[in-house]
Amino acid sequence: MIKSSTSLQFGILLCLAPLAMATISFFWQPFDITELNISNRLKSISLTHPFGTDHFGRDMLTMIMVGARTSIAVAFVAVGIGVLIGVPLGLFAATCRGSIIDDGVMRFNDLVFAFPSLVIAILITAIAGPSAFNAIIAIGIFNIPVFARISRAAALSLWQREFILSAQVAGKTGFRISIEHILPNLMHILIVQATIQFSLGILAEAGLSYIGLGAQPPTPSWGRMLADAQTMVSLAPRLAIIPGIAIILTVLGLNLLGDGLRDALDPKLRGSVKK
Amino acid sequence: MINFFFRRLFTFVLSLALASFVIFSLVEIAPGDPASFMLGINAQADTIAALRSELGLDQPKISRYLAWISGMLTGDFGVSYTYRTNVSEMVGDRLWVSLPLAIYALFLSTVIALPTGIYAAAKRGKAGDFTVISATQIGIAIPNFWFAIILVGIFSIKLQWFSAGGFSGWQNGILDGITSLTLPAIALALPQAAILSRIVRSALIETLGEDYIRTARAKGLSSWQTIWAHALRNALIPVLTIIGLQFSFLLAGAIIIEQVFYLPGLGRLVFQAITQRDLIVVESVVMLLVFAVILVNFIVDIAYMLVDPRLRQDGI
Amino acid sequence: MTLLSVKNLSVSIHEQPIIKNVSFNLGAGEILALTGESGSGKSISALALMGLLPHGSKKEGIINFEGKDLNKISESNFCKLRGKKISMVFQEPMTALNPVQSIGKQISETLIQHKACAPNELKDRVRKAMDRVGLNGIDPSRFPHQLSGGQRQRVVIAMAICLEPSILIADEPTTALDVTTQSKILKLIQEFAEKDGISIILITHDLAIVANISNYLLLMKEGILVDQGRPKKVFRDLSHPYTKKLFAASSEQFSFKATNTSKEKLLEVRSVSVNYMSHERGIFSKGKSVEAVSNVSLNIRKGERLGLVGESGCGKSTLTRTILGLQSASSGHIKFDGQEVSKYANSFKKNIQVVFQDPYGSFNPRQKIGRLITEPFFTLGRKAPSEIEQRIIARKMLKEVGLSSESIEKYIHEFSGGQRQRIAIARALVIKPKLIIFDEAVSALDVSIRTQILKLISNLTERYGLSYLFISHDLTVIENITENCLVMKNGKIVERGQTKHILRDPKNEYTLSLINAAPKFPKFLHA
Repeated sequence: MIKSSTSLQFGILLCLAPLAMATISFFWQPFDITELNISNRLKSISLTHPFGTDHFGRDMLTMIMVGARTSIAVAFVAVGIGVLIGVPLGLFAATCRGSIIDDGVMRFNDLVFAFPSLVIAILITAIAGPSAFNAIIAIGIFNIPVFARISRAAALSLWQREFILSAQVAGKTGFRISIEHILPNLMHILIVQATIQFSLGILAEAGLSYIGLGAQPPTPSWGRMLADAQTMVSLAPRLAIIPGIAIILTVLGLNLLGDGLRDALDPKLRGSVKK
Repeated sequence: MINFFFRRLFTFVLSLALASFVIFSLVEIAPGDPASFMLGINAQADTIAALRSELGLDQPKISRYLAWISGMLTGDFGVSYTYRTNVSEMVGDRLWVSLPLAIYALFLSTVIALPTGIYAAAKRGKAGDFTVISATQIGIAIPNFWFAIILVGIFSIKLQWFSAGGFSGWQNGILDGITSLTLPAIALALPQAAILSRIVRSALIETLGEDYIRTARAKGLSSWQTIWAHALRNALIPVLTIIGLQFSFLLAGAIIIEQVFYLPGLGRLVFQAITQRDLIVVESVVMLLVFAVILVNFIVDIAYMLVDPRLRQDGI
Repeated sequence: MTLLSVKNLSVSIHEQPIIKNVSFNLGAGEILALTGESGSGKSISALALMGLLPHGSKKEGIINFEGKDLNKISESNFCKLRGKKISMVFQEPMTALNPVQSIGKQISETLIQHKACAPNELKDRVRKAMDRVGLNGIDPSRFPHQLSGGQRQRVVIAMAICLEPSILIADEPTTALDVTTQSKILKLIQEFAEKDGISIILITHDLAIVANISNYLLLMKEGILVDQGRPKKVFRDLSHPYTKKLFAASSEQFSFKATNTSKEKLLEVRSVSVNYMSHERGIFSKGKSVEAVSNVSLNIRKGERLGLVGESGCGKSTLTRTILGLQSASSGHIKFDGQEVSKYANSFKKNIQVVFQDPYGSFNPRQKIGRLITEPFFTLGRKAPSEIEQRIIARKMLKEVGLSSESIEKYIHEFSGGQRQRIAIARALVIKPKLIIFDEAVSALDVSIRTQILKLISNLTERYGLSYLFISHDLTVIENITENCLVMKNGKIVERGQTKHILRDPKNEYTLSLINAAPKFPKFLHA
């Protein structure tokens, strides 16, 4: 069985790599990728080009580094949208549990879930024009019901607990109780869910970019790189394999991180050690 | 029980009505006039106006919405702006690719996920479990279109076992059709199988922790017997939900895979229609997909009722 | 004749020893009681006998049954014994049955598994087993959720005895049940030993039950067998100090000083009814309403200590919530200190506090004790003392309830169940309310700790001149700690008066059945 600490460590390690690459790329890039250098095209792996060059002669390592920025930024903001709108919505619904408002929020959730996310994302980017920003909106919208639903469910069970009753006996309002007692107690669930949605965001961004609806050239993105590589797959499979592995490792890292955090943050598990 | 059924039916219809409204509004706010798009940049204003009235675009929004809805209900999806053909025919043709592909992929994913998930749960904490968990962890992380590209690279280009893309249709025999759908189905199924396998495992492990499992063991059932006789049916509820969701995902979310393999499916139809401002096609296909999702959810809910006697009583 | 003999049984879970070197013998037709407080390892001993220990456990020693060592036989052979020769009944009847199978099917599973009869006899055998456990007239095609807790426990027992096993292990079979149901189930189990000659291993924390029905008792503490013998002898001699301590705690009648209750009414509940909307509703229609509390009136005078007795589902929790203003009454009035109580009046809330049953759910696990017990100051609004003063009061209060004042910096998971209840009391007292409601405040505690907490409550209320409403299902608790009491059934008060009078000479039939059903030590032990 994977020890949770092991998967946490692996997760952190795998997540740090793209983060570091993206950060470094702001200050220093091994090669200039805005310049096309056809004479240098499809160079295989070497010391100067650890991942080789693509069909325009651009350095693959630099492409991956800059591409990480896009992936991380899109997924991060999309999760942010989900958390900032979804969590208050879920908490609010739980506070008015059983009322029409609660029902309304839940029906809204169901409705969003019923839409095929990719199709709507395509629709949105088609309406507003393809860009990284619109990809963020398209992915972010589908994060809202996820966070609303999970925070409502967790909050509902917390509302049954006796410490909430004593807070009510102390005369605290639903809003205050939500902030003081409910939110801190579902933080761990939200953090875990955020890492999962983050990884799904990275996959979704790659997918949208792949069909040309995400980040637009010349901004490099992992999904775009895959689209470009597809025609070259017999010539230079490396072009497809490298960005793919970058995606897989990042997503894997986030999932491991989520699993590790789930156990590390669970107050029940912490409490039981003592008994 | 009847009460539960009608309540579900009511939300089912309500969801459909709401969804149709949202889709219509979304498409309405999309910039770009289909008529001018169809006629090109050099079109005269009066030709555009003529086409607009021919397409019914000059009608008020509300009556267009109602016309669209009533058309859908009678099976008349309207006429495509771009291709000038019946949308229901177009959709029908594409369904013959998308539906078999979705079923094929769902079949593969279930066939892979159920045994591995059950096995991992039965061996929880042991080496077999660890292997399944690690494999699924990686499986979830693989973007299916990347996996598709790699599959094409290996099986079509290197080994030449399958064609790299396209769909020859069913007229050359079922086997031929299935062969050309195999790589796309595998690409779609594997990441889904990883997710499903994890769900099966965790649902089963949760059920195996229940008191009634211990009761069954105390009756003399072996641990495998307990899994078959007691745990599986109770674990089925979350698993059913995910299978239901996956089916609709496979039907609609196959756009990218269809793109990789140049399959003439529903996904590609919407994708092309959106870029060509063929709004009537977009509306109809998206509505159809949403209908499929809501219908599957409805069926899953009804299936719950059959699995769980507590829901059969009125009132819960 | 010895049927089962256990020698030096030790169990460890994840390398942590749970039970150490336990040895005992079980004779045919004997009722062996395995007792001890929570964490004593009594349930794990039972699971070890059944070969059903949780993952990650290791057991050593010899369990000799019919010439075989149960620690050595293969899993498939053990399966042939379970349910046929040795069977088990569990504590939680609500969760012990598979919710998606009919009870008849679940009972027949034991028969099918051991190929006990031909398929065409199956129906009869199930019927017979159900009749045997007192489920006459219950349709086997019903599902667990359609039965009451007591009926479900009977189903579990039917599954366990339908093959007439040699040994029946009953792990706290009545703890989750109401007291009237408890006595019936215990009687049934006793019958199996006396009529059918089935040997019983009865696991229970309740010494009165042990004294009443067992032939032999084993007392465990932290995984070690500390005392054993015939109950009559063990409870008379009380040779072991731990036995003595437990017995004292279980049978203690501590006197508390009668305080002067004034005539002045503190809380006045006038014909209060509370209706619930049941979840059952149609598409458009609202649900039927269920009356949880029906026309209840009660008074608490200043300095009065009032008890409220009732079984689960009698409406006592709803009544508490209504008094606390967490639930609105459908009709009737509640007055506090002569003033009408409304839901949001903090002026009233600062005078009333509550201590809940569950020592684990009563505290926010993410806040430190200091913050937890000063929460009631919120009711004072602007008049609340400064934070520094609050902390000083908190420290003082912690000392009052017998905890160190340094506890203020700790989190709740660092405390045991009894300590948590002390903290809950400190929290209730911190703003010096006039009335405290104890809602089953000691029900989740072990008996020795329960007595400590009751004494603490008694001392503190004397010192602070408090009034309280003590809600409990346990008559002995009510007897020890209240002057007057009310008996509640199906949302109605069926009897009221002085606690002593009611317990000695109940007028109501229901009160009488409660008193008779409560396990008491046999007369010979009251010396």
